[in-house]
Amino acid sequence: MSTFVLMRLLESAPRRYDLGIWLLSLGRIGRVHARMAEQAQAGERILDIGCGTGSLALRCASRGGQVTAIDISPQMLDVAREKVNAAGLEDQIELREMSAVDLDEAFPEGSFDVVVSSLVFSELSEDEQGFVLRQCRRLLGDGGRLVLADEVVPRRWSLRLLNRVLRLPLVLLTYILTQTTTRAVEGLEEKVTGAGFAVRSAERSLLGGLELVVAAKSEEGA
Amino acid sequence: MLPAVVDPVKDVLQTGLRVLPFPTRTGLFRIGNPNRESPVFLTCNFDLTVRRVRRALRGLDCYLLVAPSRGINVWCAAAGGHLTSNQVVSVIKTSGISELVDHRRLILPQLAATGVERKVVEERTGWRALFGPVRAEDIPAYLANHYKKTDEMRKVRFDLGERLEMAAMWAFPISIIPLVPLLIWWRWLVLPFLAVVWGIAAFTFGAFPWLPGRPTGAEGARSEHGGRLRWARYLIIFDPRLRASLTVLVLFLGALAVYAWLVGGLEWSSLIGWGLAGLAISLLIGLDLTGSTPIYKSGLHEERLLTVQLLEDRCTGKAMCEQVCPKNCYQVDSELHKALIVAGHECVRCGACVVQCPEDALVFAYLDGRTIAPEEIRRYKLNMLGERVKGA
Repeated sequence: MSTFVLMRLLESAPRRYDLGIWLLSLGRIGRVHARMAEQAQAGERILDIGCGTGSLALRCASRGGQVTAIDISPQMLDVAREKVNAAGLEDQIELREMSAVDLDEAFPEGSFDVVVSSLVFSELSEDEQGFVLRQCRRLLGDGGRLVLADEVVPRRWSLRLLNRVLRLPLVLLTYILTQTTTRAVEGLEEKVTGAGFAVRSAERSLLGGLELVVAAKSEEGA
Repeated sequence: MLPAVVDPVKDVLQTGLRVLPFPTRTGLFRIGNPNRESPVFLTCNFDLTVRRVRRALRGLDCYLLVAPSRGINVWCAAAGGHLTSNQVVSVIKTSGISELVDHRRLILPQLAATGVERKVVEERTGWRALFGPVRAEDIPAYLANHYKKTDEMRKVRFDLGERLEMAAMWAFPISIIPLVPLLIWWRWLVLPFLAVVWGIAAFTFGAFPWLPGRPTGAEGARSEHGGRLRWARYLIIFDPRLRASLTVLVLFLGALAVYAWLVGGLEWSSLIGWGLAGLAISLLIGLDLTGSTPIYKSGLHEERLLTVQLLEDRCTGKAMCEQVCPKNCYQVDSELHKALIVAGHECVRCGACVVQCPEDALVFAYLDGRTIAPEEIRRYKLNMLGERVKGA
């Protein structure tokens, strides 16, 4: 999903973020979020790390989950708040302006049944990814699930090449417009396993650039 | 493996392309043989900066934290919301530095003061942040001086070397982009084209201190469209809206037509070649480069019209403004416990003093007297993403 480099551009315009991501993913982002939300059952406590404009949090809440959604950007949260109010789900979604590195002090152990996070890990540094995964393990109760979707590097060299070629013009455009870029997450599954999770399923998009990982807290210590 | 400290190829490439971000590995770097008392420094993750800082720290025993600033340099990232308290807190908490040293003192680059709130860092991590010198090369002297900065260490300079770096930053991409068509179809144009592009860039930035300048500070804000520019308005760094570049292009094409008429006609391919080269050159002339100087704000941003106001009754002389101002605009009277703006005309409106003042005694003011509360500046930086003005 090379098109996600344009996310940086969209983040500078939170109000157009949803439309942009929808267009760039050719409408697939909705399906990805729907698949992620399926992991949550009614009545479960869900943490959405990096909720952005709240699309995924809304899907989880509409299935009956009790969602805590955190994001570092007050602008994104403003948009999310409008959407939550419009959907009348204020009682089920708590929005918090908070950094993922403050998860260690924000919630006690075992606070959640499911942790979801979409297109966030690619924004984090290696150290931050490790820190957040360790926190996810701490925050999940017994039988807790971790559900991640992110940009990854395709495994086959032919797809990697195709991904690079498709990405290049978008990378350049995004550089020019926003002076920023995104990187794919390297070894997402290995990192999840390394943090003490057992990967239950890992699916990749057609071009291999987007991965959806569902993992469960494993019994042995991390 | 750590990336190399000395890498001339990357130095050249990243200087030429420094308008683009070059992210590098974030996290903890050990310099020399640090122990539990060794100082801890922080910088951004712009690759070129990290190499320069590591070179400047050679010979010291210390830790360097590289914060995730999206590959952007310290000053730009701080002003643009990419190097804020969040990134500093993140690298403190995720790098494991707290287990390696017994003290809790973090030395930040002074130019991070526009983005990083020391109060927030302290509340969230227990680390006390100090703003060190502007330049990494002053760090050894700063340590020898017991963490006290001289006026010289606080000041942003714009020496010839730095000005030429900025010239290269603009001339390099502008000479690279049309190079392929030029090499294929108009090879004879390549050298004259490069000479003109690099010549204009080098002259403009090289001669910068002697060019007739735009007045700065409040006076500059009032005479925004007026005066003293004279012929310099046709040089790259003073033209925000491409008017000059179009003028130059039209003049250039006119001259080309006259030349063709005089020599009895040119071939179409020469005309097109010269036309394209002329376009690239006029774009270089028309680019708004005031933002690449530490003296002028970009002509594209409305904050160039703001001035800093000191609310005297709030000031208690804590002197943070004096510590973070990159132009030494402030002096603090230690007996009266009051700050004074002694060089307001030098102000570059970076906002560092407004963000850092513990008493909220400094505010940005528009020409009509309206002010912007410090909290707004802390939240949106100067005008991050246009959100502040829209929200007002």
